[in-house]
Amino acid sequence: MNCQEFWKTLPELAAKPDQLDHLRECAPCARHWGQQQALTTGLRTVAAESRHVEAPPRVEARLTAAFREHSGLRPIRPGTSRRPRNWQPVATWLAAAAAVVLVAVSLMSNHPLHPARRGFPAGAPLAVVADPGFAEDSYNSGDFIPLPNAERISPDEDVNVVRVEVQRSAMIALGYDVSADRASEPVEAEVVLGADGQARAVRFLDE
Amino acid sequence: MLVRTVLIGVLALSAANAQPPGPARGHGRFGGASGPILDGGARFLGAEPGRPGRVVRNAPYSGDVVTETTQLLADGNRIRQLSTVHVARDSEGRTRSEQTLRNLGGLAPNANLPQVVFINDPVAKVNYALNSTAHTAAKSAWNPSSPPARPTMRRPPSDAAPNNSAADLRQTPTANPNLKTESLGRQTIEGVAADGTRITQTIPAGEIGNEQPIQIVSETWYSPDLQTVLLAKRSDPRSGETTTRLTNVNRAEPAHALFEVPADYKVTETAGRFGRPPGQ
Repeated sequence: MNCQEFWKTLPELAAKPDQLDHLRECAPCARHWGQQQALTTGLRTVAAESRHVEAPPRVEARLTAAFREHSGLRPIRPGTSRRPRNWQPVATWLAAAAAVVLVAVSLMSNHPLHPARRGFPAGAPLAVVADPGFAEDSYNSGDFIPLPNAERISPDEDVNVVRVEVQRSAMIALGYDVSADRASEPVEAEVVLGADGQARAVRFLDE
Repeated sequence: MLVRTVLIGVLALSAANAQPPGPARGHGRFGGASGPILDGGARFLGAEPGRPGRVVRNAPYSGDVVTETTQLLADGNRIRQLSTVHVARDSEGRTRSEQTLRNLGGLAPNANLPQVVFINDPVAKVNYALNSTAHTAAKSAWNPSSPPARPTMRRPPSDAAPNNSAADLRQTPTANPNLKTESLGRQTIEGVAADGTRITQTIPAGEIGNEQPIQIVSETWYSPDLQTVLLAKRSDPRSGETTTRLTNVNRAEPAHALFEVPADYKVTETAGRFGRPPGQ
């Protein structure tokens, strides 16, 4: 599961096992997930603390009267007046829920766009020698597409990355379907260079 | 109370959004000119060290990695491209590669991007990407883990992707009966002994619509002393020939300054590879 898939599931309330796996592997998502959880918890606490807080009855009565007058409704006669409904806890919950949803939407819309620019998981192992098997799954596959006729990236060679903008027409050679009217538009790409300096693979960023 | 709750929510939302924004699109750490990208060109946004490879100690050398690709077109025309990367490695396993990004393979054949230098220092546990034009350096912690996940465009279906001989050669001989591996013995290249291996892959007639079998030959000469490839050739009738050769090999200890960032460079510490500088 990548960052985009993780945030697409909108796990604002509870994470599933595969989502937790992603959080263990991705420090940026884990950090924002933690912030989101802390915010949710805080709002719930505020809502719980405010549950029994009510406005003075006279304030609600005046507001209700003003509303009915403004709406052209008949005023409530004193004898038929019901006890003001305890609507504020509901409103509080609604407001808190709305805020949580807003924050979740905000996080969802922001972080999938830039999750990786924030670096690698802080707890990532600092092995001196690269794991060949790991390399197999990273630069040689996954999001990265080998460039035509490029050598395969060896697990023990240095690789570096340059970030460039190229024309979308460059994607055609890699099998992408690019419409003619967008062929000259720029698209951001990360290009993997092998130890010989040759471009080996590329991934196009969807931003 | 409602007002207070809403205010708290709004404040919380503001706090959540108060995090530093991600890096601006279109202009990376090293900046870049605005305006349209010419056909076959590219705009440089930034360079960062990727995954450091295997650390080799006590085998210092320096030299030039020269790669020549020759593509024969159907009309008899030829496209020949040459690129050179200056490389160095010291006794402690530090590496440096310096190159001008004249092209990015078929992606941007007329890229003509700035000169970049990558330094991997396993002793200090840092990596650098230097922009020689802007005199800037991106510094990141040594980390041989995978590249970060990025929101990327959906890959094209495999049948839409072009033939990739390198990908074909990934298969092991046991998995592909059309792969043949043979030893070429030992020879001296650039004064260094190297062991040769040839891998020949045959695409049987009719497999990809070909009338005749296609042979893709990859030849590699590896130096056990330097623990690096001295010469690699690949020939694929579909795309042409590529030869990569390590030349001007000097086995003396390279100057330590090569593995340091020049004093006049502005160093920006990144949060991690592909990350952005803290506070930006």
